[in-house]
Amino acid sequence: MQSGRKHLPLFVMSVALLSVAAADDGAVVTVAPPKVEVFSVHDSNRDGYLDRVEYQHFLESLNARRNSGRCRNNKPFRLLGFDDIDRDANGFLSEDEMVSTLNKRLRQHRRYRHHGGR
Amino acid sequence: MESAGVAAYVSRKKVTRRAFLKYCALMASVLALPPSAIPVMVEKLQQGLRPAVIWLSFQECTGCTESLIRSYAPSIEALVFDYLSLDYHHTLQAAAGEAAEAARLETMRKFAGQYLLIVDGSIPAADNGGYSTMAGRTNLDVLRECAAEAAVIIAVGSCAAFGGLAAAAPNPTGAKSVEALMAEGRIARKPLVNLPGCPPLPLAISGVLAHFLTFGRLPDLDDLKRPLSIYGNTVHDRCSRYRYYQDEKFAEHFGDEGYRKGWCLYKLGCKGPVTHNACSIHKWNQGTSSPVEAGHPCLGCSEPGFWDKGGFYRSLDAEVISYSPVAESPDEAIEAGRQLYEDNCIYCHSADPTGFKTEPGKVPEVLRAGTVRAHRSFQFSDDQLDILGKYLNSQQ
Repeated sequence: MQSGRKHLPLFVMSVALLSVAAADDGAVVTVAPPKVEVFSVHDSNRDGYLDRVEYQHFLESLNARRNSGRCRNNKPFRLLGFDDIDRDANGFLSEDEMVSTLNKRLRQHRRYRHHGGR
Repeated sequence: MESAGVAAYVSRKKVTRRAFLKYCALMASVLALPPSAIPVMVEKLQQGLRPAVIWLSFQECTGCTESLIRSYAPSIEALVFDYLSLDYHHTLQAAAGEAAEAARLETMRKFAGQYLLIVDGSIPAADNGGYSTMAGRTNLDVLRECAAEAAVIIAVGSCAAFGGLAAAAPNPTGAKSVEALMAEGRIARKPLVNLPGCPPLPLAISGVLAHFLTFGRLPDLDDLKRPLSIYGNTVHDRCSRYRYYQDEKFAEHFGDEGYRKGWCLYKLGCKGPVTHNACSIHKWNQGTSSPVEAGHPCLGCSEPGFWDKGGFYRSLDAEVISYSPVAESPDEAIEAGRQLYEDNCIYCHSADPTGFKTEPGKVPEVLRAGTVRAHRSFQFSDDQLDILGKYLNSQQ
């Protein structure tokens, strides 16, 4: 995913150049934008990744929700830090990184394994 | 009960006051009592009379008695015995035969309604209890007689608490726990505390006795009548190998590299995560070590039916993949589901689950079916999907 992320701008540029070239021939060319799987509602620019700004915004929204009194409980969230998820340390959280991190959490939270909730 | 009181008894035993105070502080700690309880315990133990105790041993191996008399601060721990007037105990009493039985009957007559009844071993109930007798009477008959006038009953060890080894399938003697016999109305209903373990921690026994001597009642218990201060957490919760579990570093086989490095024994069948006991904290052999620290997976000996729960060396993943807590209330399940949602789902979904497009009750079904691309890689257990569904339903 890291390499995919790195090559995304090049890919978009290539598509743009291809479109321009096609337009020079006088033909109408429609090029579909690269399909991006958006895995999180917090991905505000819908690029398929969560960056630090988006993640910070997500954390702030949680705090705001807790403080607003809309929640039925006021227990603090046990939140993961950005760097806990960003295993390749490229500054972006990919879907693979999120799934991997949350699967580890799910394994540890299986109640027969971890009844004490520590 | 001796009228001279514990203070005189302790003085006669030449126990220093410093040692006595240390003992009280230790007991308060074991029982999870606040520091303010220590002077109360000191005062009460010094003032108190020595209650009479009848200790009945039925289908057992004497391991529980061995555990208690080998407590890990012998000069102090032995005081628990000194605080009590142990009037009848097969292994420890000097009397035998008719004299011993006479001592039991005399204690019951003299202290009716006041004596403590300690039971270790399960009680054979099949065929009118004929599989085990003493002094010509069945265990069941003796227990019925002693329970009738007891102040409280303490079931020591997994056999007395849950049936233990003797009750393992096919249970030819019809072995039952004290609590089961109470529930069936075959013995009198009395305040009961279970101290399971094979054997139980010495401190569990002496701690409960110290609590009773100090406050005149049993400590707070869980739903299996175990003291919360001892059995409130799992062996896993305070395990010395816990950090390896967190890092997912597991010994795969006995003797492999991970085993030699002291990694987590989960994959070797450790039942620590589902076993409520304080072995990881109080340990054994003068506080030296615990089974897991010594390199063996926890067998789960303080849980009901541990003999029949599959192989000791099969991992929990193989044994109880669909585990969910017994007798869990709907509110507890919803709370567990909320915790699961907030720990895992909010990174991709809204913290407010009311806006889900999928009908909440169908979420577990959809996730099980694997039709949602982004969720196919998630490794939910059945229990997790169940509590998630309950939580989402509750939010409507």
